[in-house]
Amino acid sequence: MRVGVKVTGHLIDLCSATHVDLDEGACVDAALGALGIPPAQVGLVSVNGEAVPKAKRAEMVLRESDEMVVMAPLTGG
Amino acid sequence: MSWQGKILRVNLTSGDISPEPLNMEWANDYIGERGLGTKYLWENMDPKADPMGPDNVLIFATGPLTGTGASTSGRYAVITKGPLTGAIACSNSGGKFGAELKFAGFDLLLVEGRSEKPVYLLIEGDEISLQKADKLWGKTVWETDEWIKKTHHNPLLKIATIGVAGERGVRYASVVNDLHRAAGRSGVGTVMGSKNLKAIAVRGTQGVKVKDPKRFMAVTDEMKNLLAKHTGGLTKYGTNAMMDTMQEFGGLPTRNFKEVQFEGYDKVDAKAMLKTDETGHTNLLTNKACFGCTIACGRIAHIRKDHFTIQNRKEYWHASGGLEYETAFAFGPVIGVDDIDACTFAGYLMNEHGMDPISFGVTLAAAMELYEMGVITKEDTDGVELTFGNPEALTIMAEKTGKQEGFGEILGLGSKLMCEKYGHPELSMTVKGQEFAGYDSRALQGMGLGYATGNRGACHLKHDTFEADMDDQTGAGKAEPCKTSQDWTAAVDSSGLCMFTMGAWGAPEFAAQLDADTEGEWTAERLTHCGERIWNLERMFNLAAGLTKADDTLPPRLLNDPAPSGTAKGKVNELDRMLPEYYDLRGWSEDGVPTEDTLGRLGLR
Repeated sequence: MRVGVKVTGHLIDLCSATHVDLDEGACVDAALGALGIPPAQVGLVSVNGEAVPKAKRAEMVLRESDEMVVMAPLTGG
Repeated sequence: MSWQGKILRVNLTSGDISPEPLNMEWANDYIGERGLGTKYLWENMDPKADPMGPDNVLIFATGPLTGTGASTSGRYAVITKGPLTGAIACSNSGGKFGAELKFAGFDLLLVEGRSEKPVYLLIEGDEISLQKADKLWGKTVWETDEWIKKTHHNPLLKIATIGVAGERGVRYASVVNDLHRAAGRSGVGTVMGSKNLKAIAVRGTQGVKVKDPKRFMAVTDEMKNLLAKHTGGLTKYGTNAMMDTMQEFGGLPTRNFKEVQFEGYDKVDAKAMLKTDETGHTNLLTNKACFGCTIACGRIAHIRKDHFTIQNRKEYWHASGGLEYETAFAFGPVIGVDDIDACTFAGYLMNEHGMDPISFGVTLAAAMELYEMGVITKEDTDGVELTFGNPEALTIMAEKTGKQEGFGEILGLGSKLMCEKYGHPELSMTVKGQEFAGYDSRALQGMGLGYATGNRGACHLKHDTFEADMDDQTGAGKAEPCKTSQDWTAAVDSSGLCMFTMGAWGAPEFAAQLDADTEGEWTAERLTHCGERIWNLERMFNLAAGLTKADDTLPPRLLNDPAPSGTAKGKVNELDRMLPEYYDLRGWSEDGVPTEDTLGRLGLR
């Protein structure tokens, strides 16, 4: 299946993909792994506009055509 | 050791200038910079004093690590009673001025009284004097910097000055040093202007001595390497890299916080600054570092010469300070403007006239809402169409406010007083009278608690709840990270180092550097305890000034109107849930007053 991807902040330097191809049943963590984005560098992931807390990334199953946004951590300033 | 052991007391009423020994007991308990300045303020003035009167005290304080070889060691803080809030004001800055003050042999500069006529303070080695500033009054920050260096034939002077905004009482005037770094928030420049003190020019030649040079070099070298692994994004993109994250998150305050996402965000974000347009123009020229900094998050930008703001004004055809996240937010989304050159020009004007961009932008946003409601009209606004999204309104009003002309005089009051004047206090997006930064607290719940309990009013820099806020968008579990990070940030702000290192360094890393630098044994526990003491002393100042629990609140829009979109769609800030838990964790009464036990534990009784 194909999932749409957008990254924010400096994560653009780690990942310029606009989509990722995954096996059926893949979760958010698997998508991050496929994209090569270290989990420590992720502030928040949203799927179709809904926030996915860190603890749910391993269980949140993605579906065909989902839109995933990988947000950089915030640091103030 | 890298305390210089000396402060300078300047009485502007009498003209007396007197060096004094640093109170080492206070330095050991309050570290330096923000903490030490707070202690000196507490001991030297009545918190009930009029912030614009001669009894207010204005302090410029460095930290024990300021001016050393540690990364980001250029920090100093300005501490006083603030004119926007009537609360304690502490605003810090980078650049080179702080280190230079330290090199001149002073940990802290304490200014009291009021000069009858405008003056500036000149410190050139051992020669210290108050100089007439008649010829400087009415000059911009940039003109003042140039004039002082030329007059004293000393291009090595480092200068902190106010612009015309500070002279004329704009409530959120800043102190600008090194042309475009600023102690920007809380009206510290307004207090400087009320004292008829135009500038402080300093050249020092003493250097600093650290306790254990060999260990200090080894530790700070290790810390620089650690920092480099964590801050590459800041170096390349600056703080404005956060704009698209806030947009996707749904926490980007838009059109006076009526919305939380801005359709034009990508025209004013970090990537837009790097983009080359059809004429070959790129907004961002380069990045820039403050003294000793290995991050270099500062932006240097320029504006298209054919842009309406500068096409007939060659004096602005130069490079200058570019957009940071907060300036981009304050001249972009919160007023609905997506013109990067107009935003950049407004940023120039803030530095030139000496004003806080956050307070100006959020005040302008409230004025735009008043205008669109019909409460104010073109007759009030000198004929300017004050609608959301109008870049000309932004730049015209920035100049009018800086010079205190026409409707600029109203904008110079700040959002709270302006909205009260027009009978709509609910439109003022402030806490204790200070305007919000670029984070909507319906999406960032802990940020809302930090805003509400901020000792200097709404502020995003005195706590760090981002991680907790991004992971859970309810009020649950936010009191603890808010309280802990407030204490920790107070310690960092007192060290002489920049808070942008906090993503890479925790308490042990700060303590290791301070311990190699400074007399006494510095541990993570001691630093954290000092931070809690500092936070509570600031609170005591505010309570003595007359503030109460009722001031620890948020505007009704954030408490009652659900976020209209984004990942927190439908949510309001849950302050009622968080605040009692926060007071309890702090060891404060239900009314937000530190208990005797708490004061005793912190050595504040």
